[in-house]
Amino acid sequence: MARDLAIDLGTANTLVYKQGEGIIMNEPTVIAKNRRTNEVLATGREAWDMIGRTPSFIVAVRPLRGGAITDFETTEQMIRLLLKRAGVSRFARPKVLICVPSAITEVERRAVTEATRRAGAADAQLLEQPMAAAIGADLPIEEPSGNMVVDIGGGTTETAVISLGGIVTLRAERVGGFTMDEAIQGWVRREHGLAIGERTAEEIKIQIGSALASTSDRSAEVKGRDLVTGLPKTVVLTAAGIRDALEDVVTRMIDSVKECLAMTPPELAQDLLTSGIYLVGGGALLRGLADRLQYETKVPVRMSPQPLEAVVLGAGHCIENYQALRGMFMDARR
Amino acid sequence: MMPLLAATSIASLVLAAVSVSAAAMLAYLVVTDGRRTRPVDGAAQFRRHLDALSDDSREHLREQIRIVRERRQADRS
Repeated sequence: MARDLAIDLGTANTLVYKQGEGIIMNEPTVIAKNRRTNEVLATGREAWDMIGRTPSFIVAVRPLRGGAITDFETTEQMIRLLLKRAGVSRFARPKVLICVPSAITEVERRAVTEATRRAGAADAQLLEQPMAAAIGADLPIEEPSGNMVVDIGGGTTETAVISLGGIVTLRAERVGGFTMDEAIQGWVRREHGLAIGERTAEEIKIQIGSALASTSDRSAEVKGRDLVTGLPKTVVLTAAGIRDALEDVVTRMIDSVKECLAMTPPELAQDLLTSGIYLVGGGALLRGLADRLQYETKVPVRMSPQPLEAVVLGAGHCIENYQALRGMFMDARR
Repeated sequence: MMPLLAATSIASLVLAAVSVSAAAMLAYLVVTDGRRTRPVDGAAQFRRHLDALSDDSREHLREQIRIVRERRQADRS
């Protein structure tokens, strides 16, 4: 009998959980294709290494951008490959639960479920990422009290208040880790006349990016192409400069959380003062973001100990208790 | 002899027809029963939902969280 699967189909990374086994895959959501034949050449880490370094006939793309599916055909190919690698075949057809951003459109929803079914799943269901994240962060969401989770992914920031096993308020903003990378690329271009790739921008964010000034602020050397001469050039970037570059993005994230807090019923809002806000997702790892959010919202902010895996672990719990938790799935509510 | 043979054939045909229609009726009942929407006990379903999210049912989840943490520590070291 086929073991059911849970997939966190993120803008940045895709994680797969197999029933009874745990996380079996954790790779970048990237696919490399031959432009001429449309053949898939590589996926995951192998394809990620190719970004910005491919000859003209190969294209390494992220099929999801800003939490939305930008390329349906490629997404379908990716799901098909993922399921194949997870052991799905004509004779082993599992039920598949896919975590998607809550802001996903009806068309995207149908595209993902159809692609999953066509790829060999016996049944395909969708679950909102913040709900899965709250379960995976081990929050007591079954209790009649407010639990707030903020999932900062590659393309979206999703904030949800959950009580009695269901979402009470939800706010999604199409801003995330990749928006930070783009902001860094734009800032370096403007301030230093230097063109850098998205992978370099991400490295700068990880090395010296922050949302709040600190005594451990450092600087980093970055190499790129001079926009005037066209020649390779090295410049030194400071943490303060990168903080400036990220300011707009961080403000949008914090505003989104504040809007969700404003929509929360008062009884639950007062619970949040004791239970706090839980941060999950790769974007939440930005230095100083938790402190900045706490300072601006006056609500205690805690970081989930497993920010990158929380969503898929939560979805995995739903797979282990499929029948009892079916009511939470997106299709079941329509 | 001929009337007896004819009567036996007719009886066999009738019996066969009865068996086929009974089988068809049984199949129909099985299929429609599967499709019929049963009244859902909302309260029981809600309790099951909360139980599946409760502390007791999270043993497996916590085990997975522990594995993830150990894996990360191993990666760091």
